[in-house]
Amino acid sequence: MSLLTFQRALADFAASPDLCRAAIADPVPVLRSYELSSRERLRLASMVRDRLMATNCVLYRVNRVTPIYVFFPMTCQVLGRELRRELETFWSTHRGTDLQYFPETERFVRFLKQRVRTGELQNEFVEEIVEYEAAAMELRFASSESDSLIREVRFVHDPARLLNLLAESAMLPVDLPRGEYRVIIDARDGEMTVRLASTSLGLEGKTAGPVDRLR
Amino acid sequence: MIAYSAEAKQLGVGILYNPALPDFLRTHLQAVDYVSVIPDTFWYDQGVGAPDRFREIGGYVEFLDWLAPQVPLVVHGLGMSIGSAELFDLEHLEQLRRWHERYQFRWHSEHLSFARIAAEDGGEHNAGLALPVPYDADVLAMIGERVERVRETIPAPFLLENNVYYAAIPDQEMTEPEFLNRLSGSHGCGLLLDIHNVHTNAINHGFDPHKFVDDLDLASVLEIHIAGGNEIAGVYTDSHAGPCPERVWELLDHVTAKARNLLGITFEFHESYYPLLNDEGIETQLAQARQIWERHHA
Repeated sequence: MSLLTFQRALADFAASPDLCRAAIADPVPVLRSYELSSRERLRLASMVRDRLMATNCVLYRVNRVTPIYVFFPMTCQVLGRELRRELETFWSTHRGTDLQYFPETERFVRFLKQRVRTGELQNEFVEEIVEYEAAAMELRFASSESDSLIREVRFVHDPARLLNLLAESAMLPVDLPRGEYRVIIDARDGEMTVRLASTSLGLEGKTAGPVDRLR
Repeated sequence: MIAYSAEAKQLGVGILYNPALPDFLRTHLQAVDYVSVIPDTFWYDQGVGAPDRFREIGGYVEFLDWLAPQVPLVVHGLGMSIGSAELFDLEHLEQLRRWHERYQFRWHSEHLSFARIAAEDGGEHNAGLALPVPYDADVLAMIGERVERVRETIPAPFLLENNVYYAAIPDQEMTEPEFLNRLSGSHGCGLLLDIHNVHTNAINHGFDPHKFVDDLDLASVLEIHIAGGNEIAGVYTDSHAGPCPERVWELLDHVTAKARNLLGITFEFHESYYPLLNDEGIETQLAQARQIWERHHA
């Protein structure tokens, strides 16, 4: 039991700079909450004071942000200054990670959508962009033999303009045209292409132009 | 007990597979003698006890199926977490055995560390990074028993990789080389000597990397990993950030000359650094490793 508790405590420190700071200030109450041998207490008290414990904390964050940044770059972009707050909230409320890209990003997508629904996150673009990138990610991992290689995502802003602005890392204007748009992501030819589906808004057959080729 | 390599064949120079590599491998397969793969990145693990627990990622496995008949494959596992207290996942081991049957891997390796943690509710969570185990006698006994279980289950050499660590565990009963020597000597596992991990630890903890490797039983070294790194927040890290530093090449030459049972040298880089390396950069790293391999093992 003791080694297990030592490992739980060490992992808690790596995940929480706040806990490290508390233990540096006064290790006794922090370490008392773990059932440790005296040698393990001394080891952990020394480790939290080690300047390299901060590197563990940084690597924990790097490892958790990597799948989000790799597969959801536009979501990160539309979150802008809100990204850091959302990540910290996500990490503090979802300690359970398994470092697998797909489940970790699925959890983040669910978290963001819930934050939008409850009004805790007010960002007019995030829901459609996170849905779009989640669909693209699914297709990247799909089997050409057994999975459907086409996805549809609903947008409430002009997707051609929105996606092109994000691709260029441009600021998003406040007056982007709104409407009901259906975007088709198609990976059947081995490469992902993006186009507008026929809609009831008179856009039949119109393609998304410059965003046709996603990668 | 020394049983790690009697029947294994020397391969030469390989590369650790990552998602940036399919195009390179399709056009430059002759540049490598083998490919090392992380099986855990080819499936989604839905958790202990879940039906259809290891759900394969179709597109990734299709590439592996293309690769397997053309070049030897070896395993570099991430998911065993062999240093976890009170957690040793036999379903995961069985999945590795099934994949071994399917792909006939030349050898298997794992990290000498822990990431998975048994939770109080009977489940588990992940530390989010590989953390070091204390080099104590009870930990050696626990890991040694697991090594033997792996070797009974999978008919191929099994290697453990020396860890990179940042905050050091004080007051350990053994030094790292003593711990590694006892694991290979008493439990029959080989050593995957990650030279960049040694280089990183030597920088951050102020020891002589040549003395470190000379303290190891180099006859147990079956595979070597080489990589690059960079500084994050003022600390040198094992980030696999592109080309190997000069000191890694020097250490590789030093070890390769003495590791008489060495089967292969594997270059690893993180896929996000592919734009820094490009195909030419990867070829250059592999060619430099091959020069050293051929100097001592051709």
